[in-house]
Amino acid sequence: MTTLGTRARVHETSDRGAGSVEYLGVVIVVVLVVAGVIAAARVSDVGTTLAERVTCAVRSIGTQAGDCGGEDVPTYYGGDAPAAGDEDPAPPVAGTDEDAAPGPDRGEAPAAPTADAGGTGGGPDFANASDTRPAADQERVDEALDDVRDALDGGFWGVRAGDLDDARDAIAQLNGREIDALVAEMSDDELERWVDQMEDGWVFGGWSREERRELWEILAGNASKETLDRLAAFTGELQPSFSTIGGDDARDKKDSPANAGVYGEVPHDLVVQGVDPDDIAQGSIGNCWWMASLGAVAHADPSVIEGAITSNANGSYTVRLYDDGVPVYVTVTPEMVLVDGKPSLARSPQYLLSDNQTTGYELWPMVMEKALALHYGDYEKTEGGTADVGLEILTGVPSTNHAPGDLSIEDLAGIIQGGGAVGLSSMAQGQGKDLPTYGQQAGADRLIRGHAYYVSAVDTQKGTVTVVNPWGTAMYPPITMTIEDFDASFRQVRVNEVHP
Amino acid sequence: MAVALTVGALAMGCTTTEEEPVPDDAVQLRANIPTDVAGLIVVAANVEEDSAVLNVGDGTSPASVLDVAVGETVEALGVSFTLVATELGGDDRPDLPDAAVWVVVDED
Repeated sequence: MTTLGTRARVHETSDRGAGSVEYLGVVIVVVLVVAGVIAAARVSDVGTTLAERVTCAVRSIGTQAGDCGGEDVPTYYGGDAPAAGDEDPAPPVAGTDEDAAPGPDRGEAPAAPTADAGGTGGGPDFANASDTRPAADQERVDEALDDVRDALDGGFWGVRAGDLDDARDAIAQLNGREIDALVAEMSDDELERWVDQMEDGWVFGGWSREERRELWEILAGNASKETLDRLAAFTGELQPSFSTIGGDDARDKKDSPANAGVYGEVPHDLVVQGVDPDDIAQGSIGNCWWMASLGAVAHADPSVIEGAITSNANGSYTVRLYDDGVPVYVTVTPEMVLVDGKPSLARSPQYLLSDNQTTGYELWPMVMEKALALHYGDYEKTEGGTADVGLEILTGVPSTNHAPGDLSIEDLAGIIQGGGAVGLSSMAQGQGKDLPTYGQQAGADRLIRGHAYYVSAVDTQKGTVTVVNPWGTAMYPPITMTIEDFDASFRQVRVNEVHP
Repeated sequence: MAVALTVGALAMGCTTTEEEPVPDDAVQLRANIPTDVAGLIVVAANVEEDSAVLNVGDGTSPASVLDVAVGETVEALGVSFTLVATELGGDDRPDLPDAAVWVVVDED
């Protein structure tokens, strides 16, 4: 039944019909003009920046991505996030032994980067690459390359997110040597355009940081050093930047990692005689909270860290972190930030490596540090933090924070003996000046203000707690103090059960 | 340079002891950040307006923990360190020790 009011609205709509057609015509004309201007600008170098800004802005409206190549908070890389309660998915590692084919003899010159059918392909590898990546199939490479080039052609509407998905899918079906061969056949201009389209694409195109990270994970976990080096020239998302470590004026200090650091590979084993909290030593970066978290978890259960790192056949490492309890897989190459040829950020003692000939470094603390930097976006973003967050990132288990004194010595002992991890925040700058634990009388056992520590032992019989400075136990042995001094000396006690 | 540092410090609302020019060869140490200096690992900590604690080690044996006042020189592992200035404030990033010192290093 049509009411009066309804009829009135129908009438109004009908009256507006002619106006709507005119309006639609105007909109179409405006869209065509804008599209023409943008298309013209895109074909000229002069107009590229303007065109990118305009298209990015329009695209961000359409996709709600909210970024124009900027930084998003990472959530999950390498596929759809698993639902809560799902089994831990397998990390996106490179080929397994079962599908492995013999690689080039390490004593020989590397094979040409283009692959013949059944050839090995690939270029120089990382030192620890196992060379067990399967051989390349040139036919598969050619098909994938056609798919990638089709996707990146884009046509009149440019490269859209779906096209980028197609390019990623083409890459995802290749093995490492095939990826090497495909990238080798692409020109620098093609690679640069691909990255540009991912980071700042055409209307309704481009990818979020999470989507880009999915592709980088595939590449970092499978491709050779040569391929990754070439790609890294076009994106900062394969190797986390360290150029802003230390804040705005860090580049003025000639010896700072921000100024003098270079990525390089040092002789290493991932682990030497097991993961041990004594392997931890903070370097020239303000991430004591992360190093203390690593030490606390390594002390509570080394297998948590051992199980978090997977060695890939191409020599890279895939690290499982947690973001709000959800596993996040981050693949890093074994190249670390070096100053004068030595690791400058996380450090480790040097050891006789597994070949019984080479002296080198135990890499796992550096791998974990680099994985966090890549997860956060760059190294500088990891400066400043608290151990409760670090413990959650490592274990996926929520942490709880407690004021000193809220936990009895029996409580602390129960947490440590039960396999839990305890991080600590010392007094802030300007606080604790009168406390003996921060004074000259404490000697070598003096606590540091504005710093993170972790608990390594609790003795209820003696009434003492032992805490560790993440600067490294070789230079800073654990400090044992009474529970009364402990309660007076720390601002926060940060507890993570690790295995609740 | 001292004028620039002082102006910068005032602009950032921080305090500094830099009344005398900081020598060009002075090394800045951010509080609590292990820094490679003269083949050693040096960490400035518990920074005050006129003093700091220098932790000096070689990476393998327990570090020397040295109280030093501005203008004073201390020695560890064959290297002398003269504290020429301290700065409190200046880095507003959260959860970071907000201080720095400048030392002149003599490897004699």
